[in-house]
Amino acid sequence: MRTITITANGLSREATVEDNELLLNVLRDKLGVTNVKAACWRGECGLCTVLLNGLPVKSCMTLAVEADGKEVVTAEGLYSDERARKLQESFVEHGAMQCGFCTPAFVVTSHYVLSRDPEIDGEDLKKELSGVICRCGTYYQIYDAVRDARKYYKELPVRV
Amino acid sequence: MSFGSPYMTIPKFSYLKPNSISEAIELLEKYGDDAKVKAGGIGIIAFMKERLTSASYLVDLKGIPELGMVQESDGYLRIGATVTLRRLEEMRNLKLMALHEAVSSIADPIIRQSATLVGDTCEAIPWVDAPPALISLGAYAHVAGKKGTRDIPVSQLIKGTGELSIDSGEIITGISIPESGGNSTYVKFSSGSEYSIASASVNVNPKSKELTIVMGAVAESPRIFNQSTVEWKWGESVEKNIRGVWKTFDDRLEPMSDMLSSSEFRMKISKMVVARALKDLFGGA
Ligand SMILES: Cc1cc2nc3c(=O)[nH]c(=O)nc-3n(C[C@H](O)[C@H](O)[C@H](O)COP(=O)(O)OP(=O)(O)OC[C@H]3O[C@@H](n4cnc5c(N)ncnc54)[C@H](O)[C@@H]3O)c2cc1C
Ligand code: FES
Ligand code: FES
Repeated sequence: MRTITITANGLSREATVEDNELLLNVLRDKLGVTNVKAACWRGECGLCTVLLNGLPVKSCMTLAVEADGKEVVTAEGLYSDERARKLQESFVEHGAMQCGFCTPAFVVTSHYVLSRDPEIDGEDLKKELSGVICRCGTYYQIYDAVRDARKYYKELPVRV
Repeated sequence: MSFGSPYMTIPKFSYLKPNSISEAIELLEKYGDDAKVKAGGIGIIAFMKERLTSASYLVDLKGIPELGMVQESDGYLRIGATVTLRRLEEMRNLKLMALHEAVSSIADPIIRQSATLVGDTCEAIPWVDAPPALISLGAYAHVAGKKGTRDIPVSQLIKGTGELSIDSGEIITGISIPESGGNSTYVKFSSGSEYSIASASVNVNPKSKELTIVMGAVAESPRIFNQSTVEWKWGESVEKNIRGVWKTFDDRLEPMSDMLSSSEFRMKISKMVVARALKDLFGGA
């Protein structure tokens, strides 16, 4: 057992964890960040994607101890970023979900993708989002929602 | 949560994060077979979850700053052991096309953010993508252990499935690739997100008229063909030469059979990917 510190969605939190615990399980079970989802626990579905120090990782393939001293952001933690709020609204406007289980993962992933390249389109966009699976198959609505939100990432300041 | 699949948990181990190569080697010497090395962790965590491997100590290389470097010097590109696939994929000036194509074909962009080139190579599963590309480009691995350092060609590194020609107290600190190698390409065939059924990495140096074809996923370790094993007539049409390569495959490729593919199907796919790669490089429809 050891105590680690994770800044989860802006709040600095301590958790006592075993070395073999997954970041995913610690976020959900110990830090109450239930906004991060999971389906496969083997790196395939991408539903457990979080931003670790700003970069997307699959938290089911990441050890909790690896996040010690780092910042973890899930979709709900993006709320302070106006661009990301507009992105989430775009998901709603385009009906880019059916059951909604994949939405948090698509929101953090597309936020990362748009922050890097607000011009992204076509095959490049599809490839960049290919690490997350939507079982309900709302891909076209997701692509439309993300494409539509590009303007906010071009126009709005990075953090508000 | 206790329901569901074994993938939800990993059996117990102690996590160690050395700050230097010498400290990492000391830990590996001390704990011997009870210790395993971790780079990106994607492979080792998956294997531990599936209970295919176990370790009492997991030695994470990510705390060793010098292993995170990419350097160009003396005509070689040196890639440290913790350099991620994503970082290589994003190198705009990367001239080594086979490496670029192999790396960007692995898993998905999020996995590539964690997984490393050296980790993919050390995983040594028949279908992994990095080794055939590295071998065709003439890459070699830098090995460090208690006795010192040495270099081994990647072609001699992989002995068989999950088996490397290094000792348990040794680690690979990086991989170096000559940048003057010529033109190269990597073509793989996989059904959906499944693992490759066959892949071909081809490197050709038009000046020295050297051709190297490396086939991945057909045997326990990559199969290498060059002028001494393949009949390639410079100046002859690509189509004719491809038929010559296919003839060599008929005689010597002997693709394996496994749950992904029969030997016969793998032969067909091998011929298809090699033809595509050769046409990419030499032209032809
Ligand atoms: C969903 C999914 C899809 C995938 N698709 C593909 C694919 O299309 N193509 C493909 O090639 N792979 C694929 N993989 C496998 C994945 O790419 C590899 O597991 C990954 O690249 C390994 O890199 P890593 O840095 O995570 O290695 P780790 O997991 O850290 O290590 C892998 C192995 O190498 C050993 N090792 C690591 N570094 C060193 C070192 N420096 N010296 C000595 N030994 C070392 C470790 O002990 C371990 O046995 C996929 C994996 C997943 C989960
Ligand atoms: S739960 Fe992590 S990728 Fe599926
Ligand atoms: S909306 Fe149901 S999984 Fe995507």
